[in-house]
Amino acid sequence: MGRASWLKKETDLWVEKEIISREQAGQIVALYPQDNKNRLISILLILGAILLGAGIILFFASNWQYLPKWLKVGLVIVPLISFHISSQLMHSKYPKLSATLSLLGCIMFGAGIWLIAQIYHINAHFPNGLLFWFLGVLPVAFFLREPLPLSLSSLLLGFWVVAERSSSPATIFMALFFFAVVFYLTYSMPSPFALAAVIISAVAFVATEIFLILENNNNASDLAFSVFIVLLLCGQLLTRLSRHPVNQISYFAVIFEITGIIISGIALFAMSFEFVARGFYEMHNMNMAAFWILYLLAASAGLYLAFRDRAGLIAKVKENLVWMVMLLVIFILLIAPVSKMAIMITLNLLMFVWALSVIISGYQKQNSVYFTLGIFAFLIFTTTEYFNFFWQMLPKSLFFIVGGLVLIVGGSLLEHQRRKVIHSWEEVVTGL
Amino acid sequence: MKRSLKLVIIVFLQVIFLFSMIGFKNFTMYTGTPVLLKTSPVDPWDIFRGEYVSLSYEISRLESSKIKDNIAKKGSAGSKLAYVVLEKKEKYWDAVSISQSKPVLSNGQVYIKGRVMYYDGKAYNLTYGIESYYVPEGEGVKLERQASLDILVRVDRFGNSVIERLVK
Repeated sequence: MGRASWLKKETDLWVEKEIISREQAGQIVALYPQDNKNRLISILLILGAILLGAGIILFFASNWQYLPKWLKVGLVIVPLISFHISSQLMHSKYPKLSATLSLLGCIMFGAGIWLIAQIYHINAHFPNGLLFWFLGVLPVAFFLREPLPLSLSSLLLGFWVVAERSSSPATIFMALFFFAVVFYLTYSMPSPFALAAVIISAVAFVATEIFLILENNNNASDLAFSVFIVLLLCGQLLTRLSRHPVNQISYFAVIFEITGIIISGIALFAMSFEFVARGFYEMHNMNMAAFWILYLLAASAGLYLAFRDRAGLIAKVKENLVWMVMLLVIFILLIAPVSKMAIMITLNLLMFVWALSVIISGYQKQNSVYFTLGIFAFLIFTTTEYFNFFWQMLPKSLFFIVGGLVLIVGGSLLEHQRRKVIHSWEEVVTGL
Repeated sequence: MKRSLKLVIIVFLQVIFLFSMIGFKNFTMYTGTPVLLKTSPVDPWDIFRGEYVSLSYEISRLESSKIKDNIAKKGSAGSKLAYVVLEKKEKYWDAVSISQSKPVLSNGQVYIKGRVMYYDGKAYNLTYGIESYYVPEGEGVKLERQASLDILVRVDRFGNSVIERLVK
């Protein structure tokens, strides 16, 4: 039984026992989001639209020579118009279907751009296609207040900034302006889907620009490691942002926290490899001004968000301890002349400490999502460490047998514990 | 303004944008001078547009000693707009001059707009926006095996170019 269904049943019982009035019961139920069933319909419709849209783009990409040009163009223009018109017709009666059709109309616009480029063998600057697609979809989000086209335009904006690969002031200002518009729309609707998409795009934008600026100022061949440090700083800042009052709407706090955890996890995982330790080591001789500006911004914004009001200072220090240690460790590694091996060991330890802190925090808050994410990260990290350290030490047959046994036994034990803990929380919540 | 009216305006603008893409290319296709260029192919794949043959023309690399070079500031970085004057030799059209302002043409000449990607001290490396030829799936590999290909391009009076067809 879903949370909302359970609440509805309970409030009906309270009304029956005359604890609360029918109106109050309605007010209580209205405070909570609808059941998963309704969300499942939305997710299925969106997945359907994405599959259909990808199929249409790939169908045209196969460049079927038997179709004349005018028929190909017609095959894009007619569905584009039809999807938008049917979206309008369904708008009041079937809002979810209408939103999906609107998304399909926007995908058809993009398909049209690529199809015409294909028909006329246009080899113009590739990211311009993404920019035009974004500019065509954004008005649908802006004027019709449609969340799915907004999510699509957020992703297109991210793809554009990464593909454009430019650190020119014009590109940066243009991207910042578009991000401001997309963030404004995301908060004014408010749309959790669009928020997740725009957060991912914005982080990709920051990582790309810092990387390009570092590349322009240094002759180092491999600056890929900087991307992961930037991702870690952004991921950690996102988890702090989840607590800001402005994000206490819809599912925004959860989206911030989950994207923050996932981005931090990916960054820490990548940072456990040797090339990042090498990057840290060589970084001492580089011009890292752009990176330090981001570091200071992320650190001060994070500190401000964590300690905005002084109440419960000790509890807040405890809550943010791992993050503060992480900031400090990165700072030390960036300036102290330590050996490559010491950097690698520290980064690997940092990865495990972080995974454990996510598990503990999930346990304390009785939050099954964080708890599961933490356990998943811990399992991935352990497997990687096993591969990194024992691949050369053990005979290959023994390596796979032991690795397989550790994974099966460890995985089932962890899964058993995870289910047990989550089940005990559910029992407390439902009062069984 | 009503939602339906807003939607009609947006969809109208989206369709107009797509038709203007077609319109610009059709203008060049129907009013342009046919120009035969020699090229050599390689075979990549594009996620949105499918399989294509990437073309490198003889006019993609112009040695400044072999043409009339009207570009004063060469520089090495950045993409700059350039006008390349083409003239028909025996079978193919060849470059005779390069400049950054619109050139004055003699009889039997056209100019094509391109971008200088870089100057390596000896030659200009240019792109003209006609470096991709999209083919049905599986065709790219066959074309790749050919050492050289002829491409018929249309160049309009503004220097815009579009591929008309591949001449095997």
